[in-house]
Amino acid sequence: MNELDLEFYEAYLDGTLDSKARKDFEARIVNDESFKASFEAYKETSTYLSEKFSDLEDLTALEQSLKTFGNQHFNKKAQTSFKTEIWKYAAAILLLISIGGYFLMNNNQPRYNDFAAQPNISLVQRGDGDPLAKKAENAFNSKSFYEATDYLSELLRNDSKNQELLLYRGIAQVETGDYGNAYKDLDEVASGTSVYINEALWYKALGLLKQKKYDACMLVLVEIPPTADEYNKAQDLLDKL
Amino acid sequence: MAESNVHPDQKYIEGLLMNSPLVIKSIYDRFVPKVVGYIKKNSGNEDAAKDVVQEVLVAIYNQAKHKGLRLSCPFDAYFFLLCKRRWLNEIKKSSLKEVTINEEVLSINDDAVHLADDFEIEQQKKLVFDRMFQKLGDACKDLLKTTFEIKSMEEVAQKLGVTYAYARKKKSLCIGELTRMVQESSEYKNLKA
Repeated sequence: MNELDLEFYEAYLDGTLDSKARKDFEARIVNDESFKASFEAYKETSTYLSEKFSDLEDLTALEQSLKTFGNQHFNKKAQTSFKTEIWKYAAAILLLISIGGYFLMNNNQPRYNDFAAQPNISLVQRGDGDPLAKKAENAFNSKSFYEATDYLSELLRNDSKNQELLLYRGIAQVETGDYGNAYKDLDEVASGTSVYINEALWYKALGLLKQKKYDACMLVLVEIPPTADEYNKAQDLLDKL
Repeated sequence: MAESNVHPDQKYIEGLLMNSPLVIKSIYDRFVPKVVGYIKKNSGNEDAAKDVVQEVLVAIYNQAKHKGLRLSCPFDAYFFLLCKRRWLNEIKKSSLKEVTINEEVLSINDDAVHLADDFEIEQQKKLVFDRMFQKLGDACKDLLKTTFEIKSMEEVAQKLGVTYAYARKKKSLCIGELTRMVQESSEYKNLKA
């Protein structure tokens, strides 16, 4: 590698060659094997140095996130494997008691209306005036759930994987008693990776409560982990069941 | 590699590049349990698995950011293979443990093996570069560190108290010197062979 070539390599990589010099450089890469090999080696070193010293803040931020999620994942696993087991056994016992109780005296069960509290939704972002989203939002918030389902379905036609819209349509369909479609939407959200997983489980459990399918409801409730916002009310409902 | 060959799981790579909390959580939820299971079955524990997972995810990030990694296989297969190899290297280093290798978990995916082989070669090359960088003179080491950290050569020249032209020339000479040392090393030649 002669000094002049080295300066050329550097100028080519940092984009300071003018267009004629750049074209000459690229022509030489094509026609001169040893020039090409030497440039590739230089470039590899430059990439290594960039990896070692450039943009380290981004790498540090990622390492921090991995540490946080890693700790959460491994600690949660250690805690929940115990807690979940306990709750699953508790749920199984409660399930037996509730099934037995159902035949002995089918009363005193918690009611859907005691737990159902539909959220106020906000689909229209600031500065985003999608009129259809506004209609869906208004219909949902004024508890016109048939209408809200139609508008949400229309929105989902263009954005079929939108987890937020699927969750809201699921909730609206629980309200209108269209359980089959409601559970389809809620199951899709619950099996995904969005932040709405536990909300979807909660509303599915409420749907089952509304249908008086207490045993199935309990089995959904025990899937809600202690870290979820819905955990306390899920435990409350489990207690009452 | 043509864009059409890129596997849809490239989204996990893009998510790591963007440091997306949703993607990172999803990787931990979906793919990490299999790695933990493997390491525990092969003389390891959860702490070891935690370290392996973090190291591999950082290495994948670096590979994507600096080498333009494009997945041609499911993320699961690639990630698992890298973690598995990393763990095997780890237990080879500490020969204290009696190791039972459980291969059943691994479903061989040719693209994943190919990508993991490339990955391993890149990691070994990086070790050669690291060793050779340490052998450079202090002036070159300082200049290269500063030029890659700061990027603007005007600022570098100002910081080092030299002219812009000198800083540029010296940078290319130092990179050239490191390149020569790496290319001439027998370890590097073996990796290229």
